[in-house]
Amino acid sequence: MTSPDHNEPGAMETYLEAIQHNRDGSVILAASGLTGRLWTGSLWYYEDSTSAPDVNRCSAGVRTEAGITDVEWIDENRLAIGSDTGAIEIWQLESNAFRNLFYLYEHDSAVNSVSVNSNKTRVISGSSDRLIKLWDLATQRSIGTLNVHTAKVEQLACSPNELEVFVSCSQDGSVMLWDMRKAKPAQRLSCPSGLPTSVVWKPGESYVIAVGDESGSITLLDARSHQNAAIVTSAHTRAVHRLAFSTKSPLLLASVSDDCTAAVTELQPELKQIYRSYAHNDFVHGLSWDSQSNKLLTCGWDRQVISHDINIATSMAV
Amino acid sequence: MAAQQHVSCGRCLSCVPDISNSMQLASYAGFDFVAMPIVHPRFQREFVEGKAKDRVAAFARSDLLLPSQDWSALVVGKLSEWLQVDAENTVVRQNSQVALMQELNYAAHLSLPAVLVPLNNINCVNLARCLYSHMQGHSNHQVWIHVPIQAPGTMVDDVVENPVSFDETSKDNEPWHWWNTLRRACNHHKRLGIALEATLDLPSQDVIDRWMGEPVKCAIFSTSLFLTNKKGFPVLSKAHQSLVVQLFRLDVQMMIKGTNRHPDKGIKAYQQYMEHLYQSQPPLGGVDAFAKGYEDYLQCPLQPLSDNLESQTYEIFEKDPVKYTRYQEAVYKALMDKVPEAQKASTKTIIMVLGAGRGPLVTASLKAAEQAERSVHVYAVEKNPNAAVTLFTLKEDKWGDLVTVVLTDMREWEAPVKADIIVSELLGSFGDNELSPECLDGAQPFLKDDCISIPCKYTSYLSPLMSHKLYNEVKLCKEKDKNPEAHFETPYVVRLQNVSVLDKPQSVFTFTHPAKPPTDNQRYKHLTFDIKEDAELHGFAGYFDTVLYGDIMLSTEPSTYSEGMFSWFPIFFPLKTPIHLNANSKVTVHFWRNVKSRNVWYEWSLTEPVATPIHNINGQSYTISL
Repeated sequence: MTSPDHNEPGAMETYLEAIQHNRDGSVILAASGLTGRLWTGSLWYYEDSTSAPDVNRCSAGVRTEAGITDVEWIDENRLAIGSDTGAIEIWQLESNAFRNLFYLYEHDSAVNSVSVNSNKTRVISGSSDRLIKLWDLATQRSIGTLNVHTAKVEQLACSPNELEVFVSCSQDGSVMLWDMRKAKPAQRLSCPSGLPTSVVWKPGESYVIAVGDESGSITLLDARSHQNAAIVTSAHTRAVHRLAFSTKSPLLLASVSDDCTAAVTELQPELKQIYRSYAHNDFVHGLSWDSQSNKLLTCGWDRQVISHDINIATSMAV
Repeated sequence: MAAQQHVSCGRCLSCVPDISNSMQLASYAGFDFVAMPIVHPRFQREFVEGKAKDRVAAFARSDLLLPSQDWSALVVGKLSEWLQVDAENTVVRQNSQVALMQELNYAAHLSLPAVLVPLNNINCVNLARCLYSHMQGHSNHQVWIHVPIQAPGTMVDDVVENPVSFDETSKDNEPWHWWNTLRRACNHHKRLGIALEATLDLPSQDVIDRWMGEPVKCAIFSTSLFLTNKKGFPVLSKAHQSLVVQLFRLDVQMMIKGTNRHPDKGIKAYQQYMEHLYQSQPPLGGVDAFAKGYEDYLQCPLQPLSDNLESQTYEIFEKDPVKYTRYQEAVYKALMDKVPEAQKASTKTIIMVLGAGRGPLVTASLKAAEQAERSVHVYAVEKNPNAAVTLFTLKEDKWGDLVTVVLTDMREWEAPVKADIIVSELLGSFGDNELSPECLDGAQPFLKDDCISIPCKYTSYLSPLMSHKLYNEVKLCKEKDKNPEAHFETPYVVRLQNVSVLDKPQSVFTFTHPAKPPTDNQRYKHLTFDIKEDAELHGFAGYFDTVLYGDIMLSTEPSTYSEGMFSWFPIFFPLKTPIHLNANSKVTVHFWRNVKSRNVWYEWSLTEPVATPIHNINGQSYTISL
């Protein structure tokens, strides 16, 4: 919309909310200003992930109207972000500059989570206005609004395999499995833990999800046989903000939390925490696995990006 | 108080990246004020333990960003929605509680006029404790409890295969119960108000009416509720319009929230629509216009018997367009019935106006006589020497020999003749509460056996009432030398507005005149009312009706109200303690009218749903002097 230079932010806001690896190992980093005079946000692109969060070594940066809550790559150069304004914003990286493709303003309150479906045609969003919205990227329009949650939607996640399937979790205490092909698309999953704050799909298995909650527990669920929910572990002492399975070793589940730690849990042979980092000094909100290695990046409200090498063999020693 | 010329409409924002910019945009779009988060909605704080506890950052925006008069006049602070003060999780609760107090104290520091506190369920006792504690401390701002008019759970899409059963009728799921739980815990605090959010589906009229008895200060309409008219402008459905109009009557401020769904028209289109609805209200007529500014204002009932009325008081009552017309009709009919056509030339009817004041009933009687072509002589009896000045003047200038002015108390008058017709206007808001029965009994000695009394009968009525506002008004009437409960043992004359009447009125005491001696003006009655919805009982509204003569009536009882009459507002009998009422239950109230040689008083108490102490025993707090 405007020339990239004009929007180039000078400084990075303190509160780093999200980080996402691109397939080529580059990363996007999202920051929010939550205190101070302006509550704006910014996006930062690093071709070399080890440069994050150094402003001087970024490959591209752009200021956004308000804080950013979530970011996800659509493909190599397009990004979907959730904004405090309630907008879904689609940005494109072109020769190391950000270009806004479009904004979609329909939510009445902050968008807390965005997720892109597996064939990259749709984005779904969940907001503090309690609604879930489905967006078609080609027509740049919303194609559905789902009014089921009775409190803010914390996070949602598209199935890695099934186009029409996603999960959502809300402060109303529910975790919902959605299949948009069905007449009644939503199914309430029974989740034994507290108020859910984060949710993620386990790669490779079509119906296994992990749910993090406000007390710091993580629960593994098989969404089809929701009668016998799986194992619960006490991973953190504060809300689990985000969860991510390693793409390389899908048995490794990383979690970041408001207890200021990042942790990695190994699922087999038994559910066991194999790594914990105390390197952050404030809430840890963003995490992303490098697709090529077992390298995990986390970012937090201390304006740090920390790289963790999770080696199963070495981590046993922790 | 003049009627407001414009609706006060604010803009409710959830995201304010740049405060001065947001203020400017809202002002440019015509909004009068802005509601916005005090602290960034996602800026959670840790107070219990861990590294985040040591975070060094200002938790809110600097007060320097706006002039102090803008903070104190234009900004309503929204508390963070992540605060879960009543969470089961101890850490969440503890953190929320400290953060809540931090935000409330900052709102007080900024001198914000009000803060908006979201209330989403019935588990709110700890929230209530925090708010009550804060309101008792050093702060002056209002606390607006933000509740939806209908719970979100009632309006979700039917798309869940295995929904949890949502019981709409359960108290836990009714926003009014959330509010009532909080309000009771806060001891009906006077600074508590409601920001009522309209929802797509609206509840039944009974439920809406109940909100009208609550201190609704602000009504929030989301842009998502608006439809689009043919010209592309946002408009509300008929049902929502009707809600808006009801809310206007309580003088609430409006607020528009949500994203602009009519971007080509600008956000100002929503404000303009509210203004349009405001201006489209029919102009106030009759009693509404007369009562403007007196709504819910407590007045002590007049005691014309022991205190002389002032000129202004007479003037106001003489302007009533209905009352004296009815009196004239009544006197006309009485004369026609009393004096047959054949005897009209030979009969002179003696009319005595008892309590003539400045003469309006004398004038009405003379007009009636002229109209009936009956000859009369009118005695104008008045005890107030100041009013009699006017009577004597009128006799000299207008009435001449038709009228004899008598300056005396009717109870002591030794009349030279006996009366064929007595005419009086001694009724108060509760009928007999200005001691009409006692006064007219005093006139017995000079009535002919077939004397007609106008009025010949009057009856008082009571309805159970919910009004957080009136309860607080009574609570505020503290006087140094009086028992603090005395004000709850006193009836008040009040124009009822921010009230919810919980059942239709029932009759209480009836008096007829001339009374057959020996007269006894003591009365006792108990009444049982049916309560349909859960509610709080704060007292009783009193009305009356009277038969002047034949079928000529005056009434303040709502179902038979004499349209256009403004001489009487209802009376309000408070209860010391608000009583919670369950749906489909009963309220039984007992009322006494006690008479002693020097005064008269009412006592009242409940026996259902609970027994209360008898209010005003022995007239300890309030009597009417004879």
